[in-house]
Amino acid sequence: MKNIALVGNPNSGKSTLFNLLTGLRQKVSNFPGVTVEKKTGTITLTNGEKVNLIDLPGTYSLFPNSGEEKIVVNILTNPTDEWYPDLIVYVADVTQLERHLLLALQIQQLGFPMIFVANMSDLTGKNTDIKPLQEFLHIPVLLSTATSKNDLENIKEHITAFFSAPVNQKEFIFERALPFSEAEISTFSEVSENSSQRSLYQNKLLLHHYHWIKAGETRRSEIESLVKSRSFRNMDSQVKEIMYLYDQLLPVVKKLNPEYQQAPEMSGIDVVLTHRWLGPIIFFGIMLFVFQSIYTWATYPMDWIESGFTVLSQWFSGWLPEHFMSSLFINGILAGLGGVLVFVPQIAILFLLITLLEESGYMSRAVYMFDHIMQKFGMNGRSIVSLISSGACAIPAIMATRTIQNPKERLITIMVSPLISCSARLPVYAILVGFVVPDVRVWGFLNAPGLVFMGLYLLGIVAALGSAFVFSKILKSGESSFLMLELPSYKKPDWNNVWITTKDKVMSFVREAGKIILIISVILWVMSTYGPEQKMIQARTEAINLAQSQNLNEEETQTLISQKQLESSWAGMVGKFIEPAIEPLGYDWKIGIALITSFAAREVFVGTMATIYSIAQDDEGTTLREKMKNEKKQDGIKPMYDVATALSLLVFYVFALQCMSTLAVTKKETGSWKWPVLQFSFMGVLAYVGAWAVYHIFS
Amino acid sequence: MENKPTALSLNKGQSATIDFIESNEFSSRLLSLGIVPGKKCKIVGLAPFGGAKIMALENHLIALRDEELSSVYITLENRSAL
Ligand SMILES: Nc1nc2c(ncn2[C@@H]2O[C@H](COP(=O)(O)OP(=O)(O)OP(=O)(O)O)[C@@H](O)[C@H]2O)c(=O)[nH]1
Ligand SMILES: [Mg+2]
Repeated sequence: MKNIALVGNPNSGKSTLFNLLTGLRQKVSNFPGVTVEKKTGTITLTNGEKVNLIDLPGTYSLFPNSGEEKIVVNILTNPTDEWYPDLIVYVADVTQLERHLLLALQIQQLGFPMIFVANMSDLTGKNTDIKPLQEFLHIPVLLSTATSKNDLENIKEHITAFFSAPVNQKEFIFERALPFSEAEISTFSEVSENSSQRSLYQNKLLLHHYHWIKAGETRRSEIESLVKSRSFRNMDSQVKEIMYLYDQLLPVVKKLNPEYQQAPEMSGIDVVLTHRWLGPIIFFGIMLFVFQSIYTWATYPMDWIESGFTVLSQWFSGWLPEHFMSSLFINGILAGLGGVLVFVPQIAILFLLITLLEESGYMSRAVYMFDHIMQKFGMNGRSIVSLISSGACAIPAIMATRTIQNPKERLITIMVSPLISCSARLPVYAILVGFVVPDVRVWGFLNAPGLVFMGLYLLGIVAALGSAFVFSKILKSGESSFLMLELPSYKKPDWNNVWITTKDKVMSFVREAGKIILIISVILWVMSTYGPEQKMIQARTEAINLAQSQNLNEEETQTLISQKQLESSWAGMVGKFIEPAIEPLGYDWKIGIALITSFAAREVFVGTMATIYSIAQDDEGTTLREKMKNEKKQDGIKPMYDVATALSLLVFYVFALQCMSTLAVTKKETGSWKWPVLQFSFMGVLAYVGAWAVYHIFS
Repeated sequence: MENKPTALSLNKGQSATIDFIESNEFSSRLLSLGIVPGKKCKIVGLAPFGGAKIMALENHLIALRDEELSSVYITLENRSAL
């Protein structure tokens, strides 16, 4: 099948047009080796022919500064690339033609057949006269509004015209030769045998980008020595080329839009939204709203999903025969599936809101405002959105780092986001905080447990920023860091775009992170259900005998059996095995078991504690706290959960990465196991050292 | 060239004409963002925590860090011409 590529500057409307052309028949994946989104799909032309369409990342010129832009150059200069286009549909913002024409002229140098789509025509009024543009570019030019369906057919017809009449394809190509000097021509033609204008320019790009460009991979050292021997001045030559192209295009832009030269100004909205102190206040207001929405709106669907899975598993356990396969299905797979799906509402809501902020153009203002402060911690203005979202859940926060272009800044944001206390830590905090301080008021109006809560959140924030700072000193950076950011005019979000982006995020989480979460939850299920056979049988008999001697009813007996069996399971054995290691933190093997099982998700801590203390499933809250209160240390006198142990556990939960879903997402977003393992380890070390210190200070 | 002013020296509200862009790793990006010799520009905003400014051009806005601003050489607007 033939390939069509959508190319253009950032924010010109490529993705909007892509969504319009492909509808829901699109596939989102990554470009090989990098986590840059690659959107592809097929479209059916008006003559019934099917062609491939790819939405390439936005690019300002063929002299890239970011990894995303390099992808575009790599595809357009490499005829063996799977996505090397047969036709380019160039998308330009008709209100910003001056800058958007620059890349179009560079691409014409490469000799691609091209259709020029002057998008956002709704903003200028349909009567823009495109004739001067057509005469200048010598290729088909059409006006479009990608946010409405009206121009869809017109665009498709132009594409069809290109593919159905090979004789006329020349009309789509115009070679505007750059005036190379004799010396330049001789240098460029030495890069390859072929010396047509098209390959001269291709060779020029090879000289500019020899150290990374794919098309020059096999001849890297040759090209490098050519650059050296001919003293090819990379930057000067880039500047010269761009200046020449501007000289060509500026008169045309003036002709198109005579009244366009305005005095440089900023709109009133922006004066407020980027104001020195109103700006950040409004930003935090918006973030508070985002945060609250994830927190409150998501709880309802999350509850439905959870109770839905409870009903399902009850139904299955009544229906399936008692067999280990049934148990594996219900308590392993079904529970794992529930564990994946329960995150969907949070991810969906966060991405819905973030996409709205991106689409409207506000996000780039936030990036600008926080760039400097985040820079100090080795991150990017966009990192602040992830850090704040982590307060609800680290999973969507990590997924949101995709918009950070610099790889190092993105990685640091991913690594430290889980240190911010998320909503899953709350149940753990809630149960333990009562052992640290009584429910009294401080200075008459502050509530003591509330203060401890606040302290725990602050601890998380400080740890996140501190670790970010350390990472920024250790990690190497491949790409230079820059801002140079366009603040696009505010636009009404396109609902089709918002819906498709949100759907893509949810699907990619379920598909990719889901697999890992499912596997880990099955492993955890096996560990806590099975143990050495002898011991498990023994535990069961013991429990039954004990129950009979104490005259327990059916339910109490079952609870006792679960307790004894958990103790002798593999998880229990590991808990006992690690007891010497966690004793310095003030924990016993029972807490050890809870630490292991709550790796599935932090809130599992509460459920495991309930099982360990043999409490029937349904009354976890108060009874559990009572039981824990009465629990004694090994000496049998001192309470197990004194201030020191409870605080130490709290600190442990602030720092430790007790969440397999986060690990799965880190793996997915960084593309390697190295980072989740490192993340798990450094947070583990923080947790251990922190808990140890706290325990020793307070005991 | 040493004492030629750059866009970094502009205060909020001050306008200037862009003279040339220093040749460095940022230059092609600055140029392709429309920061082109001969164009009028104006600093219209200062970042809340410092380190960056908003430069307005004829019909668009670009946020630039201080180090990026210092690659843009300018001629201050002639006050008497106002
Ligand atoms: N008014 C108007 N807005 C549009 C039109 N086309 C796109 N937009 C809006 O312009 C903004 C940017 O559109 P995108 O499709 O994301 O632009 P893009 O070219 O994919 O941008 P990058 O992916 O950053 O390169 C969005 O807010 C769109 O809703 C149009 O024809 N008219
Ligand atoms: Mg896009």
